[in-house]
Amino acid sequence: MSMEFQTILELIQVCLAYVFSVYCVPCVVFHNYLRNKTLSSKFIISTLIGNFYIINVVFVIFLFHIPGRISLYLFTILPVILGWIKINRPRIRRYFSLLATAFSRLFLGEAKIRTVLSVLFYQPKKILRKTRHNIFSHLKHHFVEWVMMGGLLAFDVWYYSYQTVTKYVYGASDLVVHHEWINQMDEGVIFYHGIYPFGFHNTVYFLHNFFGLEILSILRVFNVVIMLYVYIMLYLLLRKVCRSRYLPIFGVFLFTLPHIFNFQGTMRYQWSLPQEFAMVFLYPCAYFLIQFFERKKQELQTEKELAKQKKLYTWVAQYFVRPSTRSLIFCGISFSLTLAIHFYITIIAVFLMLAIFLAYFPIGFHYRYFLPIATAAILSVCAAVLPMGAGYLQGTDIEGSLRWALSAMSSGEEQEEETVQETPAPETKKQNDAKNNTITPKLNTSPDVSSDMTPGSAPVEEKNIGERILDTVSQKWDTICHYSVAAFQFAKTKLLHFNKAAKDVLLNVYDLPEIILPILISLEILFVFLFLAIIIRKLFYYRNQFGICIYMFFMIMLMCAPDFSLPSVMDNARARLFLTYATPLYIACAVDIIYVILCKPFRYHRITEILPIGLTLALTYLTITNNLVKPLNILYALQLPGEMKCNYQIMDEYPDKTWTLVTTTNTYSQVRQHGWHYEVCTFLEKMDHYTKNKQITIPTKYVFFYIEKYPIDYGSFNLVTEPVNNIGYVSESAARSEAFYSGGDVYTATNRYILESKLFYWAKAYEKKYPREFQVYYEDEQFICYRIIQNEYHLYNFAIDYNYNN
Amino acid sequence: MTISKSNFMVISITMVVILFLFQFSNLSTMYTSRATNNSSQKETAPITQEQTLTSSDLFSDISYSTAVIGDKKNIETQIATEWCVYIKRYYCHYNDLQALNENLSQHCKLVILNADVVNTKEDIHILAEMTKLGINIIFTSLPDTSIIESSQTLQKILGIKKVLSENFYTNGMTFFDGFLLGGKTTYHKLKKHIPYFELTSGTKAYAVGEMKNQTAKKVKNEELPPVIWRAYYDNSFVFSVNSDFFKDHTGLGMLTSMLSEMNEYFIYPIVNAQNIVCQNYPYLSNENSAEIQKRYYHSTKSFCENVLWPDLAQILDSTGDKLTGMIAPKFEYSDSEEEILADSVNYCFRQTEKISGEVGISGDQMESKSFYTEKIDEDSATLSELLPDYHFKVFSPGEMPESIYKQYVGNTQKDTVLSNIRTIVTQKEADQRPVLSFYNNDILSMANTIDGFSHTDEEDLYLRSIETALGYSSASLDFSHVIYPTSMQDDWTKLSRNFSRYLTTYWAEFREVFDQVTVSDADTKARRFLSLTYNSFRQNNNITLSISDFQKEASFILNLSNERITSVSDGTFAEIEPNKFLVTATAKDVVIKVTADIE
Repeated sequence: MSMEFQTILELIQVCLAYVFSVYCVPCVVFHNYLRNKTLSSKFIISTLIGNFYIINVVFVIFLFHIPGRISLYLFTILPVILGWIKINRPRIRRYFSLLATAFSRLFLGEAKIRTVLSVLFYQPKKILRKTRHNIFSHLKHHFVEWVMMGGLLAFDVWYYSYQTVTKYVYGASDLVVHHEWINQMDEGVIFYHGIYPFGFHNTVYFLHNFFGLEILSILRVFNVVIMLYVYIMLYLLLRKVCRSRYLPIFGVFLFTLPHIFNFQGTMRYQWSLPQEFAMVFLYPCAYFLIQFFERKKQELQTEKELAKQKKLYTWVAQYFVRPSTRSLIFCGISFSLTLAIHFYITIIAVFLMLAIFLAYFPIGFHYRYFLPIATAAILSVCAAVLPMGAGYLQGTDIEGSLRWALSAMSSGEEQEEETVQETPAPETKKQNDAKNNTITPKLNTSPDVSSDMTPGSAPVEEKNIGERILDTVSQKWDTICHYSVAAFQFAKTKLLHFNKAAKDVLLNVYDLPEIILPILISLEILFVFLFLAIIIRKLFYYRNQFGICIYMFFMIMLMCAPDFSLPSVMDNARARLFLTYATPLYIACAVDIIYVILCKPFRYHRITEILPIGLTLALTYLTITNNLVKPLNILYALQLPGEMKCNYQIMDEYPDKTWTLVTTTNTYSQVRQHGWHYEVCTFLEKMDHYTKNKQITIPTKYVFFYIEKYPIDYGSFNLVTEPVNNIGYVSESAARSEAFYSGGDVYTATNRYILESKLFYWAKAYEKKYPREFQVYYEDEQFICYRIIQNEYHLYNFAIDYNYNN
Repeated sequence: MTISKSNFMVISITMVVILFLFQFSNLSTMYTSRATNNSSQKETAPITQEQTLTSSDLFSDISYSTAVIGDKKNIETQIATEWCVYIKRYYCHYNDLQALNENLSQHCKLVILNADVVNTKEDIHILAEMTKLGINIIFTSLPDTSIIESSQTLQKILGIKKVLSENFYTNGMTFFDGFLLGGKTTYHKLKKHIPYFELTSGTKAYAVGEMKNQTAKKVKNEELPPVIWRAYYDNSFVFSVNSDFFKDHTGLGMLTSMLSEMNEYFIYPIVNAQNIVCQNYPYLSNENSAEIQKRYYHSTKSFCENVLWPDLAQILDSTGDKLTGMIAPKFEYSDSEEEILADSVNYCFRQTEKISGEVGISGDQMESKSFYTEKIDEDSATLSELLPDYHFKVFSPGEMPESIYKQYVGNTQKDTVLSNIRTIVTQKEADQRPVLSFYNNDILSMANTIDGFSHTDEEDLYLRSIETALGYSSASLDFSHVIYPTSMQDDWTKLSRNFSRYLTTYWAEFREVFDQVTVSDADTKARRFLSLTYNSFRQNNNITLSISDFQKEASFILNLSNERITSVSDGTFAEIEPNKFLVTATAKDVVIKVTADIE
């Protein structure tokens, strides 16, 4: 099987396993609760429940120190079955009582086996029939949406799976660490390097153990599944806040097809990373918070009306949990998931929810809103922190990077202070200059004018009351006008400054600079417009849009914070990702406002949807014809495709733990569960300063040597369509050079080149001595893998004088 | 109750029919049997010595590929020469290295030498020069440790780091898999005095000596005394044998394995025959009845027919082996008055025919040497009377001296029982004769390779080595011990149990792969083997084998390196063990397709 086909197969497997776990199972278990919901609600709720469940099940089995496949099955399946029975009890009970009756009739001879079978299959048949009907009915009514979304998502699948399908390798160096942590979980150790948000690792561990999928396979392709969810969540939030049915697709289109964003804004979706996985749960926070406000308002109104009619008890009795509370629960779950998976997303989630909260000012501060929100926030934080806290109490220290992040955040002031001090002085100076140049002189004009009016400088004329009143009014008017002009000037200056500064920063975010200014100006205009609309119309629609605008503003400020002497919450490289993700959301909302204004006379009839459909299709056409389609992204030089190919081949062909790979550290975590690893550095170092007494033995039957004929330029990047960056063909001069064998940079740049050259010439010398035994197992243009089959009873000594032993 | 006439008739007819059907097969077998009649059988003319490649045919002083160095009388040199004949390599013989150096052929790829040849610095220098030319070297025995210690160059050539002990007594030996057929084997009783060397890196050990209290002494496996190993020096492989395996044919298979280790793949012809030779059985007389009666409560004749025969038939039937019985009419010819009955002769010949065996003639008798001639005469007279239409083709002289039987075998003028002999089955290592050789132009001599009632570590190694080199074994079961027992060890119960055990354990692997045949069939295969020449070449995954002087069928062993055969055109193949395959060619040109072997 070719590696490409294998990867596609793995992608399908992982996708099916994940969707089954986080969509199908919750849908079945919560059937009673979800059956009247829309597809989007079903999808988003199931996703949240599913992920929350599997992450916490894994936490439970680890914190109770009972990791393993059996306990995982037990703790996963048993509650699911119990939950299913509990939630769907009336239907289940009816079904089984019918079945029992049918069986008793069968034994009494009153019924035939056919009757029992018809009862047995009645319910499944009904469900299948209904599902089929729902699917067709849904497709019939949403055909255009499905086609458009399907097309865009298909492009995304191709785009984001291109690297893994064609190059097979991990694209990010972090993945090796995450893989190792999951390996450790397989060996019964969670929080291997310390307390860290393990949500992503738990999910991969679950998929690996529950479905028997290889960790390597999951980590190679899971990004595509994550990416699909990220795009779908964008669409669902837009569906929530937009009036048009098709503008959400326009938003997805913006994020998918045109070459608007800097490649770094979307490159991480090529790799299965916790941060990207957590992004799936970012927009659901907003989705459910908005839903909470909407439902709460409705509930309060109903409550008020029924209270007037003294029928409140009838309404209260029908709810075990009120709809608004449910929304808040899901909002809390989303927030909790971000915290359980990656802290950075939690920060963004806080910004997003704050933005919506501000948009709902002052409603949000009403105790009937505020108290539930605060409670939900506390509980969701607890839910996420609890497993980590339990781990900490069990004696695990905090993970290094987390400690760094926490210290960076807690010492934000320190950093900020430094930043402030280090912030280029001209910046401050400029601002001061700006103040002096604009505001101060104009404020000074007023006293000048008024000084002309002082009693000592002009003759005092006696005026009647009417005149005096007129004078007073005129003075006041002048003052108002003056202040208004001054405020306008101030605002204008600030805005211009903001726009200028933001534009410079945003050049790092957008590859299409022409859109930066329109985005900034439209944002400012929308702020004013929506503010007024909220005051005038009092519709939640405008508040939602306002919330998105505030969020967009926050994301821009996150990027520009250092330029405005604000505390820097995260570095620009990360902030860029979130601004990139927020941009299509914002633009779609902005266009939706225009749509709302323009199409109001038509009462948003189906005909009016031609506009967003046309807009999307026209832009798609223009994007394609003008060659503005987003080009394929970059690939970091971390590993050669041949290496991954060999990993798969060896794991497939040779029994576990009978082989050793002599290679760099890239492969260590990928193969550790199946074989052994021997580091190139150790191998070559032992042979340095060769004497007859040197001995290197590796106690497995098969030993494989991975050699890069073109050693990669580790950490550099180039286009994914090009071969992996390399330093050049191995050389004798490099092999002759002195290498260092320890330290963080041992496999980078020149040292890697030297090490690989040495290993290459060692292999050539060894091949001479063992031509029958030391064979080429795999070879391509850049990479070669040798295999030696050992007599385990009498191992080969790999230490030889290969002429380049320093 | 009465039976009607019609019913009575039906029942009677049915019974007659059933009786006829049951008896018909026996009667037809009896009447069509040709067990005692082979004189009128048409035979294809056997391959004679003239039609085969003999050592003289392969001797070439110009274009030889193998140089055998050493005294011609030296057994190691003789075995090396014999091996060249089996493997079909042109060879040349030189008494010393200087002579080789003066007449070195450009085709020479291999030098086989022994301990006696390397004595001077000049010899070592010549060896070093040869390694530069890429000529591989095989030391069938190593020079004295003092010579090795005195020369750094020789140490490097041999891959020896240092001499740890001049005389180390091994506590057994281990042969690793991939060298001789039969996989990894540890011989705990193969204890020998050998020099103890420490090897350099880049060497590969094929056999090591075991050490007492190895764990307590903290000696790693890699540090055990090497027995057979390969070193790489300059451009050549140097194989060393640090024991006396070449004192007999034990070294034969080792040479084949070493040659195989020098090549990416190696294909060589074999006989592909496994025999069971029952020396002195069937036994036709009733001698020593008192002793047999005492031990087994049977007369000798009854014991042979009712105890030995069923046991033997059952054992051979369970393993699929073919019996070659070397008939012994009598053991005592001086005053024996035992009369040999025609019934006994017919019985044993028919039983042998039933199990697809064959009957030859044994040369043993229990008296002094002077009675051998009498034996031949008396046997000739008796058997010609009882078996007028049967010509004995196989003769196993046993203890009979060659000087006696050589005037009879193949001599039609004397008209004796040995006149029509085509195959002589000699005893194991008798007079250090080759395993397979022509006795004269028409008669082939084949040696026994195993004692069917015994299996020691040395015997096992010998067997495996011959199987590796020739795919041939001949197990000899001497029944004279059973008829004339001397100790409790000669008890048939013990002997039969041992024989059965060996067949199903130690020898089973070879019997599963190679053909189990009678001596006559083995003779045919051996003649084909000795007559053929072959060459092969490999292109990618296709190995093309071309056979000259091909006769109906030829068997080969193909040694691969982590590969396996996927198909053979015009032939069949079977896996003997990983990387080793039996290929049977049914045409002159065969293409063998191979692919990488995956676990």
